[in-house]
Amino acid sequence: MYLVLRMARRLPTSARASRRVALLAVLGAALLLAACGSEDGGADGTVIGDTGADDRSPAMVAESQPRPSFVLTDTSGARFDFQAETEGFLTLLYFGYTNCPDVCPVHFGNIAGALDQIPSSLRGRVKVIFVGVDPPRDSAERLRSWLDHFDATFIGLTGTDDELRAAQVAAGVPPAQREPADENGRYAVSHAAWVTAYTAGDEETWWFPLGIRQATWASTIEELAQIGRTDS
Amino acid sequence: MKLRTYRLMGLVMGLAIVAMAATACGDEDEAASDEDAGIQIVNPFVPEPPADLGAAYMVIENHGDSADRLVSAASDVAGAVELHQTKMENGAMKMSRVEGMEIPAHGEFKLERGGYHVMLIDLNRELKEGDEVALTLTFEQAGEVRVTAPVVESAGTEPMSGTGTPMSGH
Repeated sequence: MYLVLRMARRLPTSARASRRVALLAVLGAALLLAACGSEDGGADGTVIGDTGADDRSPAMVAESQPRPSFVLTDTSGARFDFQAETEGFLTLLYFGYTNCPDVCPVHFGNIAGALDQIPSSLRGRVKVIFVGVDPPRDSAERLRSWLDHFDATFIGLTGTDDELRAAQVAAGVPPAQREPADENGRYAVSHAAWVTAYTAGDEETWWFPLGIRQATWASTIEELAQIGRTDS
Repeated sequence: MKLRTYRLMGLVMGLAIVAMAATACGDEDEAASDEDAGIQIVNPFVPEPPADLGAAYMVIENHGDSADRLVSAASDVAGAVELHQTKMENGAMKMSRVEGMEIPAHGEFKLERGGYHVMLIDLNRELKEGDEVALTLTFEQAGEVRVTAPVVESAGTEPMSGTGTPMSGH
């Protein structure tokens, strides 16, 4: 966890350039608005999904980490050796829970949308793993239906509390914690906020914090999927 | 070539935004007529829930002269509706229930992905893109405000900006 990150080293220059142009345009529009003396600052212009020009960037971990070794159970009930099953693929790993209404669907909606945008030849080089860290509620059935909502090829894993803890420690994320239940027995789970990506041969490790736009997901995944694989 | 295309797209978008901004200058009278509307809900939406719980997002505007407070919410699609906040703590996302959301006088409060949200618990039916969710929001001053939030594709909305990074505290 004590790693220095290099921000957005590989962000494609075309994306950077277009962002700069868009930013200039927004600034221009803002100046124009200010010039006509609008009293309430044009707040009505808010659009769904408009979060401004300062969206977040994925970050490459300065020293790449080998993909972690852990064994959990997949949604078919089979044991799943993470290292063995994902080696050779760009692998996106996330620890979440199916009763997570907010950040988990944001990540997975964007990943699913991004994968639809990249060439199908590269799509086959990517494996997406969601580990359900709330075993009382993350049953195999519920995990499967939650993931199918986004993409039927996404892999769902869960396990015992001990197995899940070991997996999170191996992956270098803070282990999830169940928060105290309320008067109705409902509880939230705090969990790592970012998605970790390992390139096919563990050449590079990337972190994707919350707040990444789908287009950035797509361009970064497309680039990372080409690392460490030679077409044969 | 690709770079040029991006730049061109940026330019076209920029021109469109400038055109929209210019048009907005003519609307001052119309905007002024909303001033006394007190609480206004802008852009409510519910991303298609992947399970039997979901979240509603919106911007709450307060055009009144005094602060107001959202204290509860209800909907006929959910067994329970709660006000929640997701925040970053030591690299982990933590969701917690909040007692209320304060909307300053002549200000706004944003409910956005990865931040504050209205949590819809125990959904009694599947919500699909194109459906509508009726919400009743109760404010301390303004009382009940009804709003209809469209269900949108999960991937169709972007998360908020400015959430903490995995670097913080580690």
